[in-house]
Amino acid sequence: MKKTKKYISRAFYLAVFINLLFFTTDIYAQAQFRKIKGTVVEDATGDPMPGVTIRIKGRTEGTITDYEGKFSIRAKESDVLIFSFIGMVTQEVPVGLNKDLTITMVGDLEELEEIVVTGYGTTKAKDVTGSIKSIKLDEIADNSSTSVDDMLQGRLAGVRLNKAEGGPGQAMVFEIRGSNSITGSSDPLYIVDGFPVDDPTYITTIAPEDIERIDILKDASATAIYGSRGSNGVVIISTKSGTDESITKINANVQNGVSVVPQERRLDVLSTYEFVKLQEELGSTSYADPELYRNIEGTNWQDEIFQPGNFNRYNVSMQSGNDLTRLFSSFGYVNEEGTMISTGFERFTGRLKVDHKINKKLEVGINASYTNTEYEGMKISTSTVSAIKSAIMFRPVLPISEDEEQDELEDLNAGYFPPVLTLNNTDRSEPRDVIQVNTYLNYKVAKNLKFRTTFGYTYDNKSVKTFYNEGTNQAWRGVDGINGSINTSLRRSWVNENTLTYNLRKDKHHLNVLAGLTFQDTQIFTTFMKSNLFPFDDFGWNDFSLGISPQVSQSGLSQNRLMSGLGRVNYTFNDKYLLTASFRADGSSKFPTNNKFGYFPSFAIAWRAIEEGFIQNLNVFSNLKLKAGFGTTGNNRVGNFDSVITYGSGNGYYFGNNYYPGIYQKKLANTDLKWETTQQYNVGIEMGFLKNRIILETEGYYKLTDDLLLDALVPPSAGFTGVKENRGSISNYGLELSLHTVNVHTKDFKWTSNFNISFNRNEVLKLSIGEDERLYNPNVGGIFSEENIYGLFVGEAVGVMYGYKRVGTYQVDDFVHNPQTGEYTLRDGVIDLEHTAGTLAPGMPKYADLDGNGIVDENDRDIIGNPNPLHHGGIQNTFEYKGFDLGVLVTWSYGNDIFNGNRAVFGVPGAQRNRNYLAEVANRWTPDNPVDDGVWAAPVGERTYIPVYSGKMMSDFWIEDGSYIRIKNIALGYTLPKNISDKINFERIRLSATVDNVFVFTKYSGYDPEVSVKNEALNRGIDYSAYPKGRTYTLGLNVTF
Amino acid sequence: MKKDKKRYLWSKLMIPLALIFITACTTFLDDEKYSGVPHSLRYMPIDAYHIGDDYVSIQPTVMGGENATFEIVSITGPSAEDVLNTSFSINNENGIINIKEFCRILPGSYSLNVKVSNSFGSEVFENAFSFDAIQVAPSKLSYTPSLYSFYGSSLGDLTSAANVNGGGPYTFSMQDPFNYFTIDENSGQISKIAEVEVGEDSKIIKTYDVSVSNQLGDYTAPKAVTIEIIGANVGKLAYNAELKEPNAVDIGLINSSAFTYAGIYTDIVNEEEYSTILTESVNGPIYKGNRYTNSWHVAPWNVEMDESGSGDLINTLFLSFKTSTNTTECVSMAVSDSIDLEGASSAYSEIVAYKRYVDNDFNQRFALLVCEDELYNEEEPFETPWTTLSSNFAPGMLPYANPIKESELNNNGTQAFDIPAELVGKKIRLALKAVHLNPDLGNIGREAFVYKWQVRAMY
Repeated sequence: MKKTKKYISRAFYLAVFINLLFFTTDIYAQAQFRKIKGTVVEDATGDPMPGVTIRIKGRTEGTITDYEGKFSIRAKESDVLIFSFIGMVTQEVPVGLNKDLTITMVGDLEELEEIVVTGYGTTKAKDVTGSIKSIKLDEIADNSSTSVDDMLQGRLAGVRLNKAEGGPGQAMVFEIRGSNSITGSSDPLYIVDGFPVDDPTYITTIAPEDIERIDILKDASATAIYGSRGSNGVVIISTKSGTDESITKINANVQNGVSVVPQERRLDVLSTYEFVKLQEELGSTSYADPELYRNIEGTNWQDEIFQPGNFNRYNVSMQSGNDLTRLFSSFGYVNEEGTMISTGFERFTGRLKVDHKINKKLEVGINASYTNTEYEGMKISTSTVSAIKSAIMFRPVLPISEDEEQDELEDLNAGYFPPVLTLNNTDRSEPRDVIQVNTYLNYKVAKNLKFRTTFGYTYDNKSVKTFYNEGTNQAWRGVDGINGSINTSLRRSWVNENTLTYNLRKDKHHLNVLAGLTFQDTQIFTTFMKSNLFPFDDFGWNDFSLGISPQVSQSGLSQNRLMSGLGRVNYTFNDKYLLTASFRADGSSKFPTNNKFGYFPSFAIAWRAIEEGFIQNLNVFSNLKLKAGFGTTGNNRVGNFDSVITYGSGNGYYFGNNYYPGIYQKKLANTDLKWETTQQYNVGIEMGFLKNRIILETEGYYKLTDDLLLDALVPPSAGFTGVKENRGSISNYGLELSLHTVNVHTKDFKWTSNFNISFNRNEVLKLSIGEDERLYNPNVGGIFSEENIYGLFVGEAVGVMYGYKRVGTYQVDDFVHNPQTGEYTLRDGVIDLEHTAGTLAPGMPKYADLDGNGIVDENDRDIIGNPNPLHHGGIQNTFEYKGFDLGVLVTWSYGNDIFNGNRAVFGVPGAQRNRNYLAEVANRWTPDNPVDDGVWAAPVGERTYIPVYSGKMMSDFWIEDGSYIRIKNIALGYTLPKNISDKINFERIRLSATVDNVFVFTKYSGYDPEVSVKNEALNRGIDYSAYPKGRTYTLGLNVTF
Repeated sequence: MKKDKKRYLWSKLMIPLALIFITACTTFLDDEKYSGVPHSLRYMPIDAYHIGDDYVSIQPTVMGGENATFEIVSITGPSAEDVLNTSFSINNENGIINIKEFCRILPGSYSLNVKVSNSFGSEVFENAFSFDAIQVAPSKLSYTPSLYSFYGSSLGDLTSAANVNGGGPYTFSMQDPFNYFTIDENSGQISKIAEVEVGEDSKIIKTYDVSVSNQLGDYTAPKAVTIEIIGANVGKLAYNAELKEPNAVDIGLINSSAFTYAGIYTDIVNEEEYSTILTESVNGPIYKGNRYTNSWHVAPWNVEMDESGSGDLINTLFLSFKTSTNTTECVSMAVSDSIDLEGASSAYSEIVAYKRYVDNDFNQRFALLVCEDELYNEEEPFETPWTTLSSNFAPGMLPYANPIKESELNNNGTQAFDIPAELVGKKIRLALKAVHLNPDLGNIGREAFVYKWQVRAMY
């Protein structure tokens, strides 16, 4: 709490200082000025125009027209008034002797044309030849999300966003047009105000209110300009800038809300009666008669660990400037409680952006931002003692007898610990400080030739601090006792980019040529310290010297560099025929000398058919454009030192009485290591109908990713488990469709719809030499740890689930009883199950004998699920009526499977007593309920201990359909009429009420179908104790003055 | 008008689209547990049944079986109806079928129709349990009772017929070098055919091997029967509690029965009146882990046979009592079959017992009761006007020892209690009553084992 106050006060003073610095006050001699009045009207309609900016050329004074289009300004006779309005031609009018002016504003067709941001430049949307999707943040601002990635979900075709964890401040998993890499991530490259960022969590450090727009480059003809980092797509984030309208706008945004884990999505667990009945079945006599517990409610530990999470979001920004200098500054604060106790997220952001024209040729600018984020709360899904797991399995009731209660209290172990104790007594914090400074210099070398150089620097310091206090499993039962650790990572990166742009527009020709040279350097320094056996926990991680068993400290330095040359040509003829060609050469320190450089060309053409007379004469289209492109991109996300032999320190040796540290070779090197490369083909068509009230865009693509990095198998005698090599190959192909319609548009009412759907299929084409399949274990929380439950198969999708196919349950009449021995054996013709321990018995699961040899063994495993959806998308409907607006966003995913790890562990009873299970266990196989397809029997007695119970033997029983339709966002807003806000001197006042994650329709039985505790393409679709998503209710106020 | 039509068309397109998506996904509903009339009764088939074997079926499965009751409706097979009716039993709570040991069914195919009832109704499952019974060579033989006492001067005393498996007809034989006894070759019944000289205060104990054969083979049961030849002043065995291995449908008592109290129970515990509510579900019999709790039952335990044997540990059957937990209260009685004391001049009951604890005798009490057979209330045994012979014989039991030695049991765990004179000469019943109450005073979960429970009479 104290720390929070300190941050708030520090940030407040910073903001005040920044803002005061740029408020200017000028004093003029009153005698030279006189009052000029006037009215501004629209040329097309003759209606008065409110909100037109009027400023005096060369000075900072200005005003805007009122609701009736009238204005009044003090000016000198020699002054020139500049009238400007978005979408209108700016007019300059000398004051002269005029006292009452009437200005008619004319529409500016050129300015109205949509602009998109491409790599190293911008272009008109109509001139784009590749696949680029843009979104302006003010279109999606009514949202409770603290991070912009969440806001984008379901809004853009070809872009799949999944939130692996529902915890506060968690980044989403971004995937553009499928997975391109096997071992690497599918995260796109982020360009934040020109600065390339590889870290997907970086997006959570940016306040959405600071962002002007996001442009997503999807196909290779667009991303090839980013060469070795472009194969997963590029997300270009542009923050807001100052204004040159000689006015100062202050915008304040306040949002308060609460987030809850919906009751209907919480996992049903056994009632106290059912729990005790199971204990009885498992041989426990501690609880006596289950009937005694029929009316005892017991504790639902999920209700104990989930809480309504309040959140507050504040952001104040200022836009100011004039012809010469533009200024944007902002300060933001987010405080978000998690929906789980002892979790939360806090963020401070500050940004200052200044652009200044030194003279007609030279312009400079600086964009500096500081962010402090802190996530608090223990790791959920990957933790051994996970609060979610404990909340499901911790017993709901103690034995009625006090003596038994005492006995049971002593029955705590690592996987069995009260979740509330765990959460309340585990301190875990992830503080992060990010400073990013970008500067630029633009110089107009000649009439059509511009030179631009930028320099950016990022300082990113993040830590993970953990401390297990008294009252945690680690402190009470672990050998480390009360213990703590701090893991710190400091990333420092700089980038320098130098470009020359030649822009020629002559007659029907438009030529734009770009050439550049860029350099980037990234250093990461890590440290780790840990200390055990603290005698007390009062000082937590603040004094590690108290730990009487300090561990060996560790540190490490990693560095990589990238040097690139790039070029691009855009050519347009007669606004009909468009051509883009680009080339980039990347040289990376990650690769050996012979493969140091990678070359990434692209080529795209487009035909704006709508400009053709014969198309216009059809009277069908209001827009028609066809495009096709090809390009090569790369993926350099390999270890910095994968191409060289590395050494590490290990256990040392004693020579005499002295200890000498040991150094050993950590891995083999592949001196032929090279880039993963993706060749991508893209075709698309854009169509507009009914004066563009209906806009349909369709794109198809094919991507072939080659030279995938795989761990090649090496003989065990080599002493290593593998070596990285470029062997694999995968393909992705798909179709994207976007439909934008203006369904109704009257004077007071407007209804628009945006629909998008994306289809993607991927396929493994090649693995290592002679390898058709590769099985692996995703290593999630120890679940199925002895089995390979995922696999790569040539001809199949990437990262599919692998295991047995459940066909039923062994019933009593599948066996024959031998009265003489008391034993029973399978009847002839009943499929056997291979096992090395225990006895096959009625109530156990029966699997398909795929190879037909009469016994189910590991050869009978098969592909049992595919985490990749057949299609996904979203539909947004927006209704506007006078000052009201209502937006409803529905998103979906169809055809993806989820491995429900919670069911695998808690959905079938194991032999251990005192553990609770999911509610479906109440319907398990028992002699009086011999279900065939449901949960099988509890291991009990002398028979049922074949390892087929919880977390043993992967099968399709755990694979569920992850399809869903989610009402993701309902946002109702009201903007006060201009005349009312004017009266109280506000330019705009807007109130909003939002519900996020309103409801999800799904067959999936877990917390949420949009889940994957691992992000890599290999390990998608795993749900094991993931932090559930909340439903969020938000009230917002946005004022501009 | 044209505009309106366009709007209408759009809404026509959008609404079905939305409906298709929403109906395509319904919220996951897990299967509800079946509730309805029982169905799908399944028994595990058996290999051929050897006639006379004690067979206990694997528990059958049936949907809707929670709190269901089971009943054998009819049996078809080649045996006579009275044989069929006495050869099978079913546990009416879980449906386990028992083909009784030493049954005399004939070879052939048998089929049982079983009715299962629950709160929703009943269903009769035709041929629910079928098997083939085959004749095999005998492999077991026993007498019930297995211990007799005949006066040396008497003639014509008879044992019971022999129980034997394998399938008849059988031929029995035995060797008695003294020619005191002879055996009926058809029934195996042994009769005393000679007067034996024995001191008035002495007894001679004779143990005989008995052989049996059928057309498939023969078998000799060692020490199949024990006969005491007693003098005139030695108490004649009027009752010996006979035991057999228990199973899921049989607690193992042969000539006694067990009952557990349910309801409000008031008694004196530790010299204070104590009242408690005992329910059938908590305080009633529970079969778990091959053993019963909350009821008198038969349980095996190793005894070091240092008197009658060579000191080996022999797995011996005991009449035992144990509560389900160390805090579960229970009141249970083992009531003997009718004991005929007509003509007797005096009688006493002898108990040899062992307890697996050393303390808490006051709240883990064992009483010995007696009543006239005529007054015994078969419906409500606890309502019988019992006379207390011992309100608590727990202190006289052999306390905790490991291993249990036969000599210690006989020397330190034997107690005798006289039958009241007014009951001598009549038919009586005895009862062992376990009263484990008030766990607040201490653990009530310790076990007790009765090695011998006999009545001897003087004539």
